[in-house]
Amino acid sequence: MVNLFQPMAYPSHKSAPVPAAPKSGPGRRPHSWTAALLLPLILILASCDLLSVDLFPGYLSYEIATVDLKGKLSGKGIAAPEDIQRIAILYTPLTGKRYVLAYLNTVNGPVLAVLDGENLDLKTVIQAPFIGPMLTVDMEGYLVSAGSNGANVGRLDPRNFTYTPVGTTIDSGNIEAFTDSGTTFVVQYNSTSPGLFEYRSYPSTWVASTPVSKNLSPSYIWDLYLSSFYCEGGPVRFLMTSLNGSSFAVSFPSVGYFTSAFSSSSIFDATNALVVRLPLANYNGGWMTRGGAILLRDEKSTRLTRYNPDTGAEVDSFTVNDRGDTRFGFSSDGQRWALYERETGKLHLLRTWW
Amino acid sequence: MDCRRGSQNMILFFLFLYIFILGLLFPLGAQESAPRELDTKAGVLVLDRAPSPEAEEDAQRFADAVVASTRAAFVERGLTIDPKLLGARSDIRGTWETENQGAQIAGNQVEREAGARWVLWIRTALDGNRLFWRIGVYDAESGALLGADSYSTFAGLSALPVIDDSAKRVAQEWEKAKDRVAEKVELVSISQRFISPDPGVSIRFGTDRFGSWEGGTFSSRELSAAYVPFRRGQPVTVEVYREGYWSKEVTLPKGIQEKPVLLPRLQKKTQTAWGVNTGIGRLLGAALVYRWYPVPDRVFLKTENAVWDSQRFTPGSSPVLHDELRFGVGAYLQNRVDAAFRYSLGLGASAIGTVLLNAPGYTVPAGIDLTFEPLWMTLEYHFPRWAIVFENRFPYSLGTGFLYPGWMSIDRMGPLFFSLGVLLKW
Repeated sequence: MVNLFQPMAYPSHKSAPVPAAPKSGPGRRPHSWTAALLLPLILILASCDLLSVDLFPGYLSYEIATVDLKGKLSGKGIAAPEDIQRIAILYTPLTGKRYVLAYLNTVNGPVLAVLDGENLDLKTVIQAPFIGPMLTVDMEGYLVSAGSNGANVGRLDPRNFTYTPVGTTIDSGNIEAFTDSGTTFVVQYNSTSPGLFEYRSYPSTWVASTPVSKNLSPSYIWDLYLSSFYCEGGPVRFLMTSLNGSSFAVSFPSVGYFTSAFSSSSIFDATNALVVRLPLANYNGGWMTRGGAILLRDEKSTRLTRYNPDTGAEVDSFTVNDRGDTRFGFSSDGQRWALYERETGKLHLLRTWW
Repeated sequence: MDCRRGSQNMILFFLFLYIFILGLLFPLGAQESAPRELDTKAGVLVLDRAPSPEAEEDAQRFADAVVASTRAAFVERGLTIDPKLLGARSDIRGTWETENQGAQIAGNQVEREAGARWVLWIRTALDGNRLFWRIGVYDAESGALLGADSYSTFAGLSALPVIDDSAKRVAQEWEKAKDRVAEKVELVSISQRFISPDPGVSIRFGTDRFGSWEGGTFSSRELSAAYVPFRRGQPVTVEVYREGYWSKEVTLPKGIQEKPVLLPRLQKKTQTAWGVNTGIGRLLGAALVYRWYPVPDRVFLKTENAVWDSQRFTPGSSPVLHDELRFGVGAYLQNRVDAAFRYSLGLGASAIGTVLLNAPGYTVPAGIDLTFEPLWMTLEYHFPRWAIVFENRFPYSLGTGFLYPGWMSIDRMGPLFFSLGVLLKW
């Protein structure tokens, strides 16, 4: 696993330890002799990118598990089960496991499907007004789905999959959250000019704090969308994607620098803010992970392109067979990603390509 | 006195000696004989009468009648017939096909004796009460047949007017053709040399349709063909053939030449063929192809088994093995069965088995995709025993396995299912 955050030029910063890739199991690498045997062929063909051309979906060789999610949800009486709107892969220390959360808003209300993060076994399906598109792991390791029209935050205990609302309400809108050192930060971006950035911190069980807000930049800059946060005990990074102009990867050495940025004239002008300009991305098509910033882009083909958030340099890309309405989600640790194909109703859990 | 006489004798002696030596060096009347021009107004009759032991006299009478009618018909058209009647030589009697050879020999004989250009070759036979005859007129110089007529009828007086008509027909044909063939015919004196890269190939001059002469079989790269007396400068058709191969016709526009002629290679008649290929989307693998041609080089059935890996060689990628079993029927669209460049269309179906070698979340990490191919096409370049084959197909997936249902495409490039391979003919 290459940690692109390592070269970040902050003197005071120490990056979080990077877990080694597993020696066996889903993350293991192909045998070296196989690569050596095929190296000459690869060198010839890789230059013209023909090797990546496939009759089959390109993700197949990264596949860990798949499930007919549409069929499963339909079997539980969920209306329009194919209309998945958001996918998140979350790790919780409560069980030490990953879970795949799929959010959809149906005519009968919002629905959250929780699946096992290794084999996509459907753990539970919750249909409640508290469910929202903001999917995160809170300060106590619960799985949280919130942000639905100011409703209470609801959280799911991954040990028994019981779902309970808490007293706190959060607004709907462009909301993302991250947790660091026992505090959950809920960040909202309002794209009305000049782009208001607001966060609330929840140092204990969803006790509301005073919101802190600040403009994103001195002037209105395009139509931005807060896509994703990354924080694993070290730097805080987030991604602002745009259909017009540029996207931005914004990094702070730590949560402290992030919160102190709100006392600057604007977030982008904060002393320790590293703001890197990135290309355009599809709506809701950006993820910040330990492996870098990933943008979903439509060029000659639909590609998930990975960028170094410190330099803006393109690292690599992955062509996806986007057949019209595919949803993607990446784990924060950059080891897993998932895609849901509305056409087939299948959810795929995949290894990342880096 | 004796001395004078002795001197005179000496003079006479040397005079005779001188004359003798001159006679040796320049024989009196000796001249270099020039080729004798044949008289185009002179002809000779050759009678080849089959023996008829039971009615020898009748047979001779009827033969005489044929001779008389023939002579009269040709004399009427201005031909001078040598009064001598030549009998057919025993060494040239044989089939009717060798008659022109006999005519040439007879012509040479006539040339020596009379210098006549035309040979009237008459064959008669009496078998019971049936009389057979054939009258042919040949050019003694080239052996060309100018006219002929054959008939059989009851051996009686009624045969005489029929014989007359027969002789007149031949004379009429001769009159029409004689000016044309009287031109000087110059024949080649060499045999043509050929070069062929393929030992075992044979050649014949002419074609089966119009008659042919065998030219020989290549045992090495070069062949000096059998001599055939073609006219100099006249185009010659050569047929190149070999068992199990499509024959080819070659025209030598300038006729027989001293320079060797390079013959084209023959294409094998394809009954079955094996091949290998690989293509876009399955470059990490190969396909083995078998074709069977119920109509050689026209229609074929094929089956193909392809095995490939769709691994991407990035850290998270693991091998995904595919095995496709494919069937199809196709036909070449061009007329020439031995064309070097060919194109074919066909249809078929396939089943693709897929195994994911590192998908721990799967209960059974495998699947089978069924596809239907309403159209595939090939462009092929054929050598005698093998071919380069480029193929594209337009498959429709039924979505039974890992493929999406619908028309298959590669990313956004469309149905570019190209493959390139070789085909070996057996």
